[in-house]
Amino acid sequence: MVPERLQPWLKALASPVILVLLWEATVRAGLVDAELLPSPTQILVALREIGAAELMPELAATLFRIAVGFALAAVFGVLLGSWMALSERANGFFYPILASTYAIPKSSFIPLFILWFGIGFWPIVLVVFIACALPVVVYTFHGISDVPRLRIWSALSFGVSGRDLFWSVQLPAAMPEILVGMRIALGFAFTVAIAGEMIVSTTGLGKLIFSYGEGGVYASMFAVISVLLVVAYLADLLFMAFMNHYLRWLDRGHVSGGHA
Amino acid sequence: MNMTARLRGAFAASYSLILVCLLWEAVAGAGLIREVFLPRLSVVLERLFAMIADGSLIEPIAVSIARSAAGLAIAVVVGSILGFLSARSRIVDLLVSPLLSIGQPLPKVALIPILILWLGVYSSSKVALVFITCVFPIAISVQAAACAVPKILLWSSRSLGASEFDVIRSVLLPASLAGLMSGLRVALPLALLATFTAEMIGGGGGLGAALMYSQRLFDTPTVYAYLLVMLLMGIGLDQLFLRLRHRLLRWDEEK
Repeated sequence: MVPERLQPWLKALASPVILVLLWEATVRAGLVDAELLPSPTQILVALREIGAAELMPELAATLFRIAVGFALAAVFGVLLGSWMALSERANGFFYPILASTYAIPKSSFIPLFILWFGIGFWPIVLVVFIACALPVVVYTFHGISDVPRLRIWSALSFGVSGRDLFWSVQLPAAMPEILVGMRIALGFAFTVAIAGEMIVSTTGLGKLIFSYGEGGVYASMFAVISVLLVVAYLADLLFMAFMNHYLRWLDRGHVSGGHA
Repeated sequence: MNMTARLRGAFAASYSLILVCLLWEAVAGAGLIREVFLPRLSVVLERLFAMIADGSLIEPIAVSIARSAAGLAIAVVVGSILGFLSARSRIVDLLVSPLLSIGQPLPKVALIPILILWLGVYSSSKVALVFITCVFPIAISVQAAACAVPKILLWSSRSLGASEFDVIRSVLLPASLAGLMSGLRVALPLALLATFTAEMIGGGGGLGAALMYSQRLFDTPTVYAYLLVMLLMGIGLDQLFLRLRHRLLRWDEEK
């Protein structure tokens, strides 16, 4: 029998491992054209050929754009969402604007931002910002609005008010919701950043994937896509670990996956 | 409610949008921003109406909607089956759940070049991307809803003499339908996002490709007109969805 400690790992890894093995076997058996679908081992070989020297600068460029856009959106989203939750008037003003922006698929802003900023850093950072800001605003709004009245009343009766009430009672109480919004935002950030890089950029993983594709170097294209997917997955995992650590004071189980 | 009260309500709900529109018109009209960046709103609307009048909007809209709908339909069928089965069977759950939780947060647009390689730049690769994007949220929420059926409901329906088939038909499927609806609400905007993005990157017709084309020509009024069309489509689809949900699930209204 497998030790109990390892069982969740076994459960989580069994089917991905089976899938990869099946993939390798199908390609080796010649059931699919290896040019159209390279096997996992061929992809690893291609990855070694590309090498860290070529890959790292592009990866860094992509991650930097995502980090800047996400960070700006996190700050802006929490501030605007809180303001809307605390002020009826702010909510009345911003809600219609946000609701109509919400309906546009965010990557459609890319051509507009190219018109404004040309090709480079800013159109991608801006589209990441827009895509990330909305979920953060919405979740912050709900988080702050749903803080139990009783908690606010007891804080008030202890003489806490104004800024202190916000920073030490309302904001911490809303953090679980806000972090869920930020996790969704992180997923959007990768999606629009890659889309943006495929459309306009001269650097970044998206650009690298696209140029290998256009050059017909498919094993390398698959290799860079795999790197990107692994990095995006690790980013999500890291964010969840941060959430669980940050919210360890909460009286409940771990935050689980499957939300976006 | 009388007319003035209704008008006042409508104004209160949208005055900020009106303000933004007026500001847009004024700033662009005063020449504070170059026209290639921000044409006047009236110019954009004029272009939009011209595009409606000469019928050039119909084809890209129809193409994009057909692609989104086809991908979404396949995702609904496959996602519901996967979600439902993995809620009912431990083996399916063991095989499917890890793949769902790994696949869900991944940026599927990265697969566009692969899909183009396999399926070409026209509709099939777009439909495939929509399917891959939407199947995860649908499967996950169907699975969650089917798992969340209270045990007591199952026990009591069985003790009242329901057969296994009855239990599935009258308890589990309605519960999964509620899950399917909440999955759809997430998947619907994602379907449009996937379609437009694939069209922007790979070309091959549709609104996304038309938008990119007008940007390359620096035809800014058309760019804004397309963005307005996409905005209206997003709002329209969401409203359509809410009506559908209301009809199907009157017993389970969301707050």
